[in-house]
Amino acid sequence: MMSLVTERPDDVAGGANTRGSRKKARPWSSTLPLRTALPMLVPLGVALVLFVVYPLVRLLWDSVTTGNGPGNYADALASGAVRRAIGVTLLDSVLVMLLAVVGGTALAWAARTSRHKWLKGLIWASVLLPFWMGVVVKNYAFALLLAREGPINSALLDLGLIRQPLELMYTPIAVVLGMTYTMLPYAFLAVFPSVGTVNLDLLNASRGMGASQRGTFARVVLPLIRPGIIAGAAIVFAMAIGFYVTPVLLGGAQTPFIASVISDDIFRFFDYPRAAATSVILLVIALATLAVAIKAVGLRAIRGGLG
Amino acid sequence: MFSVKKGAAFAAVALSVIPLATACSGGDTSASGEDTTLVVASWGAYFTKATRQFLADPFTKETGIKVQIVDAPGKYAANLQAQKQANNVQWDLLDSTSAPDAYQMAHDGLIEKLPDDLKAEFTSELGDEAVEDFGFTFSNLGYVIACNTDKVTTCPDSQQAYFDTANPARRQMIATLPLLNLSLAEMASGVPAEQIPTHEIDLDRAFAKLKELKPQIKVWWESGDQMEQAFRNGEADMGIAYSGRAFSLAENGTPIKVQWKAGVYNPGFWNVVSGAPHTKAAFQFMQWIAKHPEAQAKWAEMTKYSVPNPKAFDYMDDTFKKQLADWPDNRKQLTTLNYDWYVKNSQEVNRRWQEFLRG
Repeated sequence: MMSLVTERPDDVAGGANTRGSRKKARPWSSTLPLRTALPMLVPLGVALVLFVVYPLVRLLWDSVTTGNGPGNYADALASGAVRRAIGVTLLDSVLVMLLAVVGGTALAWAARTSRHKWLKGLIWASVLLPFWMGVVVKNYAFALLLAREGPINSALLDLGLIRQPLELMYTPIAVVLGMTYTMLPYAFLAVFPSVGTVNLDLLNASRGMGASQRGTFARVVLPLIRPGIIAGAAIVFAMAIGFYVTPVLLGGAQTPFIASVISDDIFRFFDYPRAAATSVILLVIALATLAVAIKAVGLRAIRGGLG
Repeated sequence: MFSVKKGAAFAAVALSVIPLATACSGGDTSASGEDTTLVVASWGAYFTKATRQFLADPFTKETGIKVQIVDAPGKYAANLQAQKQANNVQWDLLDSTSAPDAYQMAHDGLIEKLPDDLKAEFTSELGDEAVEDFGFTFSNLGYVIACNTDKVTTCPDSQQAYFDTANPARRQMIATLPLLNLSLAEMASGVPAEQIPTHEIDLDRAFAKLKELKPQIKVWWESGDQMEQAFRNGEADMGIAYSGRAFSLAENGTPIKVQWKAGVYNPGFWNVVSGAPHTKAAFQFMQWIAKHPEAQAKWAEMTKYSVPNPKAFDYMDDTFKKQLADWPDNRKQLTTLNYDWYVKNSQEVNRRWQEFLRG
């Protein structure tokens, strides 16, 4: 590796010389000069301004200038539907966050420590396959599994564990399960970098000095992977509160997420001002979550978690 | 390119530059047609396919007017509103606008009123009930009570019976349509079906009635697919269903009984967009559709929706036509909704509905 890198400048210099350049070749560097870097950043900057900054500013502006002005927020919060949707969204998202982070950490730890190659492969495959599957496919699979006459209820009935089929579809249980399945890969991928850096000799040392298995996990492993866990939790929560398709398909019309109420306002009632205000509320909750997480573990951990 | 003046020169170059030539003759030349492309908004999937295959293509073949179909399921009003605001109306026609939307759009001036002569022509062709000021009905169906006969011994034949709360173990479903549900609730409270078309709903009473039924409603369906699925996997044993979908469930093995009695007729409408780029050609297309019962029959067989021309039944299979909402025996059992009242009160109704369902 080293030799390759040190040889490079000579190659470049040689190439330049044969083309008759009398300029002295600068040593190769991974840092681009400003006049090259800036133009390369322009498309990104334009895209950012056009598709992120402008809509956000416009949304904020509309939410306080159209309709009843700042009263849009009062309108939104005066609605029982909006309040309940916020409650359902936050509660379900917290549950999804807990399940996904616990599951993701367990899987990441198993993938890190297992001595069996096939097991590691299986874990990675089972995490990444749903990650790549379309959201409708995943939800449809859950709708089939959780149906009143679906495989889960049939199996439980056949085993004699229940007498009546369980009410699974169109309940918060279905929404939390479906969303957890979708968010598990994000939690796994956020936790895995932290888990990967844990020196496994520390475990032996801890055990050697008399710590129990549980104590080792709680006092040695957990502090080491804390940044990954917090990053994972923040990412999962911030994404979860914006969910739309899963709550509609698995939860039905009577347990709405905020996104469903916003969609009502836009497409059914044409009430853009209230939709804008509700969207800003959703956005503020998401940003506040990320801010708390960044404060707790630093931006680097969150960035690391995002890969 | 060279410019073409009308007259002798026109004939000489007509063959090679037909598109240019007709463009130069200016304005809306849809009657002769050749370069006109109508833009029709439709519902996507097999619906668009049927309109393309049985209505648009034969029409193009006969008149030379091309038809482009864009899919905008359930989003006609939102799209038109946006096009109008941007001062850039791109659509000419709406394929089967849902009734509440059609009345609302007519009220908002988003769709064109029929010219008097055309309205008279449609009425004589399709009958009085199929024609409104803003268009004629198409893709009609019934909202009917449907029951899974494996699970339900006596299928309710009135809304009183459907809203019965004496048996809380019932697993029922209902659509997420405020006007429909409030009207059904009023029928359950004793308003006779024949008064519903002009009845002003007592919102407090109707919502109270729906609230009583709410614990028994296991599914609030938002699409026909969802309704079918709920019947298939036992989520619901009886429900307010689209008639066409209920029959196709039965054909595919779920034992479904359809109750036309106490049902509601739900028309769609062909409309011409107000300020459309090709108004004349758009009306010409509607005229073509109205006058081609055989095309309507084929369209109906593909989509399972009913069509307005009574002569269309002559081209249909005997079992099939008796499953359609416009078949006289069925039609006379269905009531219609008071859309004019809904247009006036939709703001309040929709808000209260949202609070009721989501709150």
